Amino acid sequence: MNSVVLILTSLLYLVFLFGVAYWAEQRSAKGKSIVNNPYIYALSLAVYCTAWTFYGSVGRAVTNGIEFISVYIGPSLMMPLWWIVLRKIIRICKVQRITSIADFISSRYGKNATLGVIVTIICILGILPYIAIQLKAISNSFLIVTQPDGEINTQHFFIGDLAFYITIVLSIFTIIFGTRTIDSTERHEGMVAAIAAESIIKLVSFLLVGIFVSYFIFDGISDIFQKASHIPALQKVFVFHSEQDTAGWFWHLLLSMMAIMFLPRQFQVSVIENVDEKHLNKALWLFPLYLLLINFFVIPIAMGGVLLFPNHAINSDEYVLAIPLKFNQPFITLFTYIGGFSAGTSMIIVETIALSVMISNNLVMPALLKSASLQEKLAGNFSLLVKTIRRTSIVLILLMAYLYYKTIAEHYSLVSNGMVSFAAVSQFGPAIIGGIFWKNGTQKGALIGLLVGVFIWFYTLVLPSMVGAGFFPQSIIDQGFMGFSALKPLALFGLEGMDSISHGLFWSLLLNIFCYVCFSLNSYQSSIEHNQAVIFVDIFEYSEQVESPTIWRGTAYFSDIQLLLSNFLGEKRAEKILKLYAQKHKIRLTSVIAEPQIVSYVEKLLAGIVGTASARIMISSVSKEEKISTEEVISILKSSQSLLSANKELKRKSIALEKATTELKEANEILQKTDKLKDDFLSTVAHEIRTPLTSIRALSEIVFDNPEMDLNEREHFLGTVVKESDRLSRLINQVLDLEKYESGKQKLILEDIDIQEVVKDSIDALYQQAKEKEIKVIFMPDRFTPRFEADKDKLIQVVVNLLSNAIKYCEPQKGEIILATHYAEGCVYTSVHDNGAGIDKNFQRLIFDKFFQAEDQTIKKPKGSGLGLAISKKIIALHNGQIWVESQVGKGSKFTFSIPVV
Amino acid sequence: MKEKLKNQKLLVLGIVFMILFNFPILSIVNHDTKIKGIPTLYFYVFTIWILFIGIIYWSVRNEEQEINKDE
Repeated sequence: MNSVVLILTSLLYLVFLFGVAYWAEQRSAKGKSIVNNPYIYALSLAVYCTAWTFYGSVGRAVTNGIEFISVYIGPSLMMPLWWIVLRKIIRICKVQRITSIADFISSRYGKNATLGVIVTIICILGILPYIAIQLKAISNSFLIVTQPDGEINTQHFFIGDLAFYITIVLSIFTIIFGTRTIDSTERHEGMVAAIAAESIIKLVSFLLVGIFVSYFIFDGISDIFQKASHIPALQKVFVFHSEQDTAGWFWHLLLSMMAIMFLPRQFQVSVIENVDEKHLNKALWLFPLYLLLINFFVIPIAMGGVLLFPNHAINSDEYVLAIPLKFNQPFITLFTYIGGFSAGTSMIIVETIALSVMISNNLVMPALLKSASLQEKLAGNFSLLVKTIRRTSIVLILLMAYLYYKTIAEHYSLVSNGMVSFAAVSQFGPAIIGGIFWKNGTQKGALIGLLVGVFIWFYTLVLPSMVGAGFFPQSIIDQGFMGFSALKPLALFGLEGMDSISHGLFWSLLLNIFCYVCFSLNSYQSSIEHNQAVIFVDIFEYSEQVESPTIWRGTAYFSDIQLLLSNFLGEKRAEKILKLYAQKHKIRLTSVIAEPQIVSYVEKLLAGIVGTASARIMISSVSKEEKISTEEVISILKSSQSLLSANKELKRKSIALEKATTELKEANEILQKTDKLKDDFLSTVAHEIRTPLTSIRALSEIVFDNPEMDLNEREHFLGTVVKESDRLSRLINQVLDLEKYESGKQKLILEDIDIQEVVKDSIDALYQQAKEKEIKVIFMPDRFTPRFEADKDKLIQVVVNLLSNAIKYCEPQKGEIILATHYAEGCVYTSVHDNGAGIDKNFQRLIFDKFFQAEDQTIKKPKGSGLGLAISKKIIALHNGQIWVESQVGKGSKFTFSIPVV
Repeated sequence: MKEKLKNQKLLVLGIVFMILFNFPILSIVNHDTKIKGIPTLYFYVFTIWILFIGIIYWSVRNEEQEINKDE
């Protein structure tokens, strides 16, 4: 394939990536971030899959079978634990504004600058080879596609060497991506979007090759295995053979479990670039799924490659490209090349950005800031300085990686180089995991553990590779250092029978952990260290209540603090940020001496820009700090925590109390009201009883005193006495009745009834009365009303009551009463309509109360007990119905009751 | 409370599959036979892997739904 076409495609691809990044940044500026999305987050994690995955896995599968997959199963197994471990790390980084793994370790162990330097150096040493093999893979893939038959010539250096130009282009690209703005959160939305896009491209292109090989060249996966089992070399790798294989499997799982957490690029995408902890939920299964998919066709391609290129005609790392080339598939070849290119570039971009942040924040800045005179000279230019340091370090990292590739990496395969890098970052495991779960881990322990671990890593894993490249004599490997056989790099202390990676990992990690624990137990923490330890370990307790407790005491001038911040963010932004913070926390900004809260807030902001250790140095340079003892630190943390929880508890209790008070008040009001009602009722009843009693007594006295009374007159008097006694007993009956309803003792005797019968019976009962007053009574039944369950006698009582009221209030001769029934919407309605006096609007609701009429005695002469409507209302209520009146004074009134038909 | 339960669930899940993916369990399938034309060891590793992803998906999804309900 023409190399110009390939170069153009590669450049176009980079432009496309930049377009994606630019688009994402524009969206984020408008507040519609696409990176704030669990799918993008999961895809960005796939930066784990580099050129090693894309090309190297196949090569590894040819010689070792399924062993390569341990590197992908390890991270998958880590996923459930991520929810516990990584979420904690994310929270810590957000609260403490930590922006790199070096910052994390240095911050945990007392914001110690030395630790930051050591971690940064380990990262550079460990990761350089890894970046180098990406360069190697990219330039090799280019050469394979352009000169499939030619011998690959990699002897040139710099000018005339393709890899050199690739290095230059990628440096420029990374600088544009990673250092456009300096922000205190150190998040790169554009970069994350580009990485997610690259993840999709590498997955799709690898699946495409896989499907092409498995289903177009061969007849399915089982066909490949069928054919492969005839070749002894392939048949051999179908199973694990020795104990070495089985032990190696375990160590590789462990190694990759740590790599997925501690590789600087993984830390960058999974922790620093994380927008929302909840995104982890989806990533927990999406990321392993991605790993599964991208590895699914590795073995078929590997086996297929061996079958297609017998006798090792082609390096097995190159099968992915060589197979589509052999079958003349220019499109698949090009797409695969781009897939590999994206796998390599994504790793390079993220890894170099992460490393450059570490170099500027943990290596260069603390060193520069140590000198007071330098600090003064640089004042005002910090922002530019940080950018320059980062840009320079990106170029330097890539150039060093290039040199490493040309001198050493040439001799080794993709996978073995990568494994060495994994082992390097695994050394952070004890310090980080210990640091977030064990408060007693100390600076000394972490420092010594790391140094010892890295030394052994170097001795057992890097030294042998340098021997291979001719930097050290072969005798070190064969006879051991200075001839001590116990010090053989590949069989340390006589341990043999493990592969070099497992062997190196075992010894380095073992001694690392041992030193970390032992020295931690035998050393003391300074106050700041203990302080950080408590915050890190109990982060979930503190961060949910307080943004972060203030543990700083001393004096600093506010103007100094503000100036410090302005140096990085510019005057306007610094002022704005401080004002916002002061408003939120109700702090005065006018005082000359800065409040401790402001000082620690500014320190945190600076930490986001230049790293915790540098921020520490800068703050202490402008302030007089007082030491806080460990006890004080704990008490500050505890008091801010317990104060908050006490406050919450108090609030909760006072709310409950308030509620109880209002409830009591309401209950009391109701009680008072019923009490008054009872009094009123009693006095009304007494009054009602006294009226007939008085007339009975008066009449009987007259009869008693006048024995010679006219017989007719006497009869008339006695008749009145009988009538009044009847009224009295009726009244007492009704009072008893009402009492029964009110106390709930009255039960209904339900039977199947027809409302029309009820009305007819009622009319019959009062027919005589109406006739006496010459009042017309008309019944207009609906054609159909359903039968329903009700107490017939009680309903007759109601209708009789309404009808007798109507008769009472109608004028003789002119009166006309219309009774009607109808059915609508599940209710039976019965109404009694008269053309009598009518009821004033103000009384329409009151008439259903007991003795309403009694109160109005001065106005109207009572014609009934005043209890009839109250009892009717109770009866209807017992039937779940309603009763009401519509009336106009002078035009008559209409009483209606409705009963629901079930 | 729910948070702690989720932590424990996921921890147990991690440990169980750590065992399933390691020796000596792996030695049970480490022999030269084939299932559907695929070496038993390879078949086992991929099947367990898929199962693992499925179980994580299932347990996290349940969790999310519960949280949504609560909200």
